[in-house]
Amino acid sequence: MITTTYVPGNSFLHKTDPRIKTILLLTTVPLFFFPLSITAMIMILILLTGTAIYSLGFSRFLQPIKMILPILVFVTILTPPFIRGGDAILSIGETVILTTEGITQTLRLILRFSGITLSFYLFFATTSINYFILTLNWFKLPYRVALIVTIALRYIPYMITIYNNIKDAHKLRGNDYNKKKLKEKLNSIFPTLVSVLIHAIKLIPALSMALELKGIGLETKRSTYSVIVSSNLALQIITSGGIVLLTILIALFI
Amino acid sequence: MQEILKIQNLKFQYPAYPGLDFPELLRGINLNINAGDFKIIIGKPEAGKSTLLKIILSLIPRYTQGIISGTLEFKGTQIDKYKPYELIEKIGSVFQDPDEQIFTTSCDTEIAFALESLGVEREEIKQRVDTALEILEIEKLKYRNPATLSGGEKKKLLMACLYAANPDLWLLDEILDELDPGAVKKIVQRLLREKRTVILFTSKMLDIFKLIPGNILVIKDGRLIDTTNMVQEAKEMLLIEEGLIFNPSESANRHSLAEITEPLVILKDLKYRYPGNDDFHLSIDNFHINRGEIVALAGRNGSGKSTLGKLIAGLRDKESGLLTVNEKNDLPCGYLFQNPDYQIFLPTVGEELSYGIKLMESQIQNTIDKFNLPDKNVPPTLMSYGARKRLQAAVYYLMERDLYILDEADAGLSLSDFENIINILHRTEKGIIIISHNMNLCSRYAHRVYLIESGRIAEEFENDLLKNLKSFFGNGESIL
Amino acid sequence: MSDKENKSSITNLPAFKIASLAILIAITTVFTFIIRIPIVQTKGYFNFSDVIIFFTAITFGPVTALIAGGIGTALADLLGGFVWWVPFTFLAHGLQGLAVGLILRKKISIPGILLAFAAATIIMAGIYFITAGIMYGFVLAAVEIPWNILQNLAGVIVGVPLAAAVKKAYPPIQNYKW
Repeated sequence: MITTTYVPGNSFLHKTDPRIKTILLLTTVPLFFFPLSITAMIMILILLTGTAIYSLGFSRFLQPIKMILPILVFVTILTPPFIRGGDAILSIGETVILTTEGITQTLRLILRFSGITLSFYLFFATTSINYFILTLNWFKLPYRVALIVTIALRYIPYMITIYNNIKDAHKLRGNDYNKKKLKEKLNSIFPTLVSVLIHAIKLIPALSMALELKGIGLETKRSTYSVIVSSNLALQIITSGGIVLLTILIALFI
Repeated sequence: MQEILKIQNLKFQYPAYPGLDFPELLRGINLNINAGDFKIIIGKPEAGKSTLLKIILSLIPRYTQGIISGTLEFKGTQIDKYKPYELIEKIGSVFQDPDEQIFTTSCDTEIAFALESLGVEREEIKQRVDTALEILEIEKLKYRNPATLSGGEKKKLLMACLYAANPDLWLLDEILDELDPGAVKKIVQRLLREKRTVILFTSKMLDIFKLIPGNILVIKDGRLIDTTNMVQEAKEMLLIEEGLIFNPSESANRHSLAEITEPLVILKDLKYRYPGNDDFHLSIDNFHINRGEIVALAGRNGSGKSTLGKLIAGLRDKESGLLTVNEKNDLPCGYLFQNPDYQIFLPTVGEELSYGIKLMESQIQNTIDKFNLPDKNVPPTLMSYGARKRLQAAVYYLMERDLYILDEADAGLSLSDFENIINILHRTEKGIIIISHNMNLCSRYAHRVYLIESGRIAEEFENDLLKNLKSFFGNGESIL
Repeated sequence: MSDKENKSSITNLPAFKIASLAILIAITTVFTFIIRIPIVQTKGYFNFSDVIIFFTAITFGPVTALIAGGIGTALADLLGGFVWWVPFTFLAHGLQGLAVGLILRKKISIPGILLAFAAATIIMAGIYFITAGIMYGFVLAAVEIPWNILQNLAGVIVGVPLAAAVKKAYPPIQNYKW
């Protein structure tokens, strides 16, 4: 089965209205692209880290960090030699390897990338995908787009099952994927891909029929059954307003 | 009595394709449905049930070209005056394959969807969703993702959708498949009690139908035969003729066993753990098949019988224990999936048959004749379901596997088609495993039956004992 | 009844459009997320996203390729935990699909395929280069360019024959382009 980024839970961030979380996300992420001071970036990152650990626990917090660790390592190794500005700190012979500017730049990139990652992760780990779609709907995403994504989500696990079955079926016809050479590998996976696609495409008219029978095509205005439920909306707005203000203050003055 | 549906002299033929002619499927259907009628239309696979259902729903010829004639009226209005989306409160349907009909990510939104389309107010939708869930006794599934439901639960969800929309006419296609007998009885009795107007399409004669007196119509050669006024014997003859029930007087068409018994598959203390599921595992102490033997794995859905089949075919890795299948052959098994399309990918029958093996033209033609396939240049994806099933068997037949595993192979096949496949595949040096939840089918063709329950072999029967079993499982088509 | 529906083709039905987009998004997600060859690299795996995008663009046309390519791959990033990529992936693969679909809309020819490959590569690799560059530096972003070219190469080498094979095996698909 597939695991989505969403982690079911009961933390304050889970309970926060997804519309508010969207606005928070839209304020936090761009901040990291502004020329903030390193101190300000660290402070915002600490704020995000604290929120992550508080609402998801330490091991959940580590998950996205682990995923981006290789990139962070590469950034640390590769960035400094290309930055010439500032005073030389380390050099081999004539070649300057590390400069003060290099360190600042590298640190900035690391902080920026971690901050963006953590922001997105916090949002999607505490917002179920259905709620995410409802939120986009609230922000005037056309109903049909929301419906398309919902149906796609319904059929992803189904198509995975179909893919696995078809893979099995083709294996018994002699298409073994564990070939060494890439060309042989592709040759043996190709029939499976054809079968999977035919299966998927045959589903389209069937699904279209089902949609029509449930009223897609009617010009009556649809009513809505699913709505975003959240408690203490006023309090949430005030609190998050405060957080946004605090972050902007940090960004501007530190 | 208010007339709901009136069909007169309805004819339909699917469009032909080079090398592939489809005979006229419906050849003059006449049917009158009054309010409160409960009609059962029974017919072998591909007799035209699903096509008729789609014509009533105004989906054919909208989605499928074809030659159509005759009249079809819903409460006095020509059905083609309606678009499918205008039928929500008029005609409701449950399709054969729930995966083609359920399209949201939560059971409650699935039920609510049609009501939202109609613009029903939220409070009323909420109430109708809850009532529908309650009627089908699936309140616990309210927020579940339908993708995680069992086949039977999916059918119940689709029934709940109908209860919420409350249409005048209910069309139920193979709805009783995958439901346990208790649930079937409850649903049918409730529909009868509520005097719903129902047409139930089925390819299996179930005991429960005997409780609905005189309303069985058999679809045969494109026409409907009303059995209401037929005597019991004539009715049974008709059903036997159409392969809808087994002939009780005819002895099972079982092949005799070879004298020499050479083991083909041996299993001992086999254990298998399902990935991501610690509660359920497969544990088989003793199991074997000899060459020339037909063995059945019987059991309910989810008992583990298909997993056992896949282990034997080498598609799953055992955790521990002994499992040997003819070691001289790299790929000793042919596994015929319930869905024949998993294996089909090439543009013509001929290419599909000769994929990966060298064949002479005459061998291909021979096999095409043997399995009653259309021309070798026909695209398999356009053939009928039955023909695709026969093609799937033909592919493995040509590959000369030692063991053929047929997973719910009878699904969507007429009994005669199924029997033909078994007869061609069964040769002295080969083994066959039939996986099915149909006890009668198992007893008819297998030399031995393993009854699988909760991942274990509950019992093993020799064929003679099976006769006694019938009284245990009841007559007719018992769904385990 | 609206005028649109007077045309005989089912591709004009809103339900059909919704169904085809949804199924192709699901398929794109599966091709990106499930069918993949692992490699140690910043994006973690060599996947079939570009294969399915070329397939969609050829068989279903530019609009479907834009939406299915963009949303399908973005969902794969979301499910795989690569959340920070979601908006950029949507842009990179969506526009890539749109370009291929527009170039190969009329007929499939060798020059057309080459042009589609070039356009797809420039758009997809370019968007990833710029966004990755801003996020974690252009040095590392440049390292990813060859991989993205390879992804597009696979898209052409596997995707184009795949579209042909499916069209041959299931002829009705020819009516699904819009």
